[in-house]
Amino acid sequence: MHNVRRGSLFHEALDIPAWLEADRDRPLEERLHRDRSIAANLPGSDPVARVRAWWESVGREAAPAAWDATFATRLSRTRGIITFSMLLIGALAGAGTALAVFRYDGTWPVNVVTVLATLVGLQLLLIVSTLILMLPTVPGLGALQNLLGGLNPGALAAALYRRFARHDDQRASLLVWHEARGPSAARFARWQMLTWSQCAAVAFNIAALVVAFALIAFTDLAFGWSTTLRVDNHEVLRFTQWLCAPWRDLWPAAQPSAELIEHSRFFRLASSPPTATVASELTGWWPFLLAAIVTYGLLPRCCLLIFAAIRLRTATRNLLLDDPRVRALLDRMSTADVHLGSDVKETARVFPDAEAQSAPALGGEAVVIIWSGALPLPDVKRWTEKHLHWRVRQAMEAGSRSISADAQTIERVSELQPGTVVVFVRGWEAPLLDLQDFIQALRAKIGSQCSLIVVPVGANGEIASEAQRSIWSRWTARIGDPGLYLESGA
Amino acid sequence: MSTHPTFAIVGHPNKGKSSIVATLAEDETVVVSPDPGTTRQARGFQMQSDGRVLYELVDTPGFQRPRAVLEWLQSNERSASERPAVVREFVTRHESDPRFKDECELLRPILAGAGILYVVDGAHPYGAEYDAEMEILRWTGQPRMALINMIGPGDHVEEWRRALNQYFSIVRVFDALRADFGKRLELLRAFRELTEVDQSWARSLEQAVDVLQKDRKARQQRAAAEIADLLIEVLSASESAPCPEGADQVQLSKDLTERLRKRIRQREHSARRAVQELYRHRSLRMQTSEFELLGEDLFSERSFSVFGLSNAQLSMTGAATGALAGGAIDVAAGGASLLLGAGIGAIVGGLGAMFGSNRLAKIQLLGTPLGGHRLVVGPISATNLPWVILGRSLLHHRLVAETNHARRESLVLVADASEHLTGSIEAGRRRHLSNLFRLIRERNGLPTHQRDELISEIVAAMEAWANVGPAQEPRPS
Repeated sequence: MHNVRRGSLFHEALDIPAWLEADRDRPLEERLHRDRSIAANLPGSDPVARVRAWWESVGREAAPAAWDATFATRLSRTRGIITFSMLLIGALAGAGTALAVFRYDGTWPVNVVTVLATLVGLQLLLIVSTLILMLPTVPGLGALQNLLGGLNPGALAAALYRRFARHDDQRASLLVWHEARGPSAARFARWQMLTWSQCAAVAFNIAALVVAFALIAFTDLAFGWSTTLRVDNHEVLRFTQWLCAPWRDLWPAAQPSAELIEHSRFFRLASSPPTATVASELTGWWPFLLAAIVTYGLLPRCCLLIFAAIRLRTATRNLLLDDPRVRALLDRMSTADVHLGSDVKETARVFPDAEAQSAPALGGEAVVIIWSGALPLPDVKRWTEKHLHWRVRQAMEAGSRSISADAQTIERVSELQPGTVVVFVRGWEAPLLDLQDFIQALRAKIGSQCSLIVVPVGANGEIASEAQRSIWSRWTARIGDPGLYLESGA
Repeated sequence: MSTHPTFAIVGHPNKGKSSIVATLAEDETVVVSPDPGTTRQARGFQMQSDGRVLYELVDTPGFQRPRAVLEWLQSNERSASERPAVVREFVTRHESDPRFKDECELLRPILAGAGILYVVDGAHPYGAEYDAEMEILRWTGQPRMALINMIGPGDHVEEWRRALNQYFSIVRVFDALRADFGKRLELLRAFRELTEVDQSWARSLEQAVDVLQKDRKARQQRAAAEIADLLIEVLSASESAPCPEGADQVQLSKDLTERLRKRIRQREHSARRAVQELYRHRSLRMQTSEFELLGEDLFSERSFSVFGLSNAQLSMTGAATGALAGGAIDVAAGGASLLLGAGIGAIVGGLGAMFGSNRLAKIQLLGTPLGGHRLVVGPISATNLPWVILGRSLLHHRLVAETNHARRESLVLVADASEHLTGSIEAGRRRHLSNLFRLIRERNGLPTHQRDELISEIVAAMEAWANVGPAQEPRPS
């Protein structure tokens, strides 16, 4: 019995196909019956829900011996560790970046241009590359998409997993887009990688905002703007107004005024940094900067994270559903369970492999009995002399009429006191107990000294085939009469 | 009377009763033995659909002392209407008599309400000793059908018909060893005639025919899915190993290629096992070598020449696939390319397929994220290999699907070794298959909808082969 507690969809998308693979050792009939019976009690029509419900039900059965229950757990755990690591790395990077760009030692103010370039411009660039990755393979962009995919942290994680877990299972490539086997696995790996990227990016933005806000709240920061480029205040005002468009009405204070822009420009070539009085006027930039980071960094990343997570869930569903073993399971669940065969154990009789003895000597005189019309009466003399080298003393029939008629035949034979009695039988027919009764009754009458020879004859008076001879030989031996022999005339 | 249609298969020993049961119940475990008296107990074989019994066959021991039984019945006869009661009395009185154990065993299901299927051998002459058996069955008063089974080359069917017509309302010839699925359905339909009086039995049998037909389709579909998955897995298979600085790359690539070959052979073997299991031929596993051509190594020259496409077929298929791809460019160019795309595609595709790699698989040396290199052998590049695998799988499927469960002899394939069997697949389907093979190589697999297309193509090829493929004939074991 495996653990019936529900795991994540990813965990089950790995576990179920692996379990089904090991389950192939079970007879198909058994699997058909089991899966159809479980399916009969499952509500709903969503295939993933049905497969997962089946998984819960089948958990009460013994797991197949070849099933490796640990692999999915290991890979799920690795996936969880990578997700956590990406959040941590993103948060540390965001905090570090914020500390760097908001650094203010009381001399020169924090440069708004640097903050925007790092926390908005660079992020927008990364978002564009993320969007390129999210597109399906586009002719001409394939190489770029592969290059960006190759730079993903999952590739490194899978390599580490293989090296340190010493596990060269190809399923580990589910964490690596360009190594994934099969379209479903590739799609899953791609959305997994994008989800991780968005996790890191969201953590980055949140951490950057928290650190920035903490610095603003608990330290005194002065902001200004400085650039080598030849831009005048009007152009900067237009640019900031364009940037502020999304929140202008929601948060008017977060829009820098023309005065602020005019007064906050500084040049480090100037003889001294702004004075404290001037610096206090320059704090007005922070609402604008925080709003810009939220709007152009955090919000798009949150949207992308939600989108990637939805696509990842779809890809995980497909990872499960596209697996041929799962498709075969769904087929078994939906097709009528046709059972042919017997529930009663085969009790066929096994006979010892004994052969009858041949007659001790051929030649002389014999009384002949034709059982069930094995030979036409007129042909008996010729057949016996030709194939058995016996002279026929008298020929009579038995087996075709009543049992009392057979008894009369036995009486007549015993009256003749023969040394040898030949019984011709139809070689193509199976020997019956009816004949056995006759032979035993005959033996009782003629005594043990008389040789009884069973001769199977083929259809149309031919010599019996080897297969026919063999059946009659085994039967003759089974009677256990030491004076009963078999000849075929061959 | 039984609630579901039940038929007792009775007759003389060794006339193929168990063979008929094995065929109809698709049970290869039924012991079919040349020794009379092998079956000693009546054994029911049910056909169930989702737990509901649609019909039941009862395999019985053969008559051993029919004359003695008939004499007892006649000596106890009261009136014609009481004959079934006399038979019942016989069974009751001789329940513990070892002399009539087989007769009691075979009469019991009939007295419980089973219809009678009396089996005789039409290849050998009729004999008067059968009269006693037929008379006993007539005494039971149950509906009766005679089946003339053919065990051997002789033909005494007419002689048998004349005798059987006097005792049985329906007489049918049914060759248990050679009966295909259609013949089995025909026989089930004939059972319906036997149960005309009982409408619920007739309905059950109609449903059984319907269920069996659907089940047969489902099995074919499942077999095609097994073959499709085999092709997908083989064409996207690869083997890799770390390749340290200074390692012998040539030797390593040979080892990996051999490993890949072994894996493909094993995969083919497991697919065959799965197909055999679908058709309830589990023990054929041990007899695979008897399917002579299929025993040939997958990678041997003979396999390629018998099952694969010829060079001409390969290049035609490649050219057509290339033209299609090129044609897409022409369409995109709005015809401005003057069909240049299709032309170039056809030439490149045709030549590529004809002179395409004779090597099994691509060999690449790739860098790894943590440094070092891996030598990768795969995916498969040998153009003809999927056709060879497909040809072998189709032939294997056909042999398995047609092999009768009563047959205890080998099948020999009658095929010209120079034939390119997959070449018989219709050209349009070949192009589609070729395109799917290309997609598998490029994408390391197929998305579900294209996998379904591959399955449909394989089903179509199976159906076409069922009519025109290589013939088979039985070979005595």
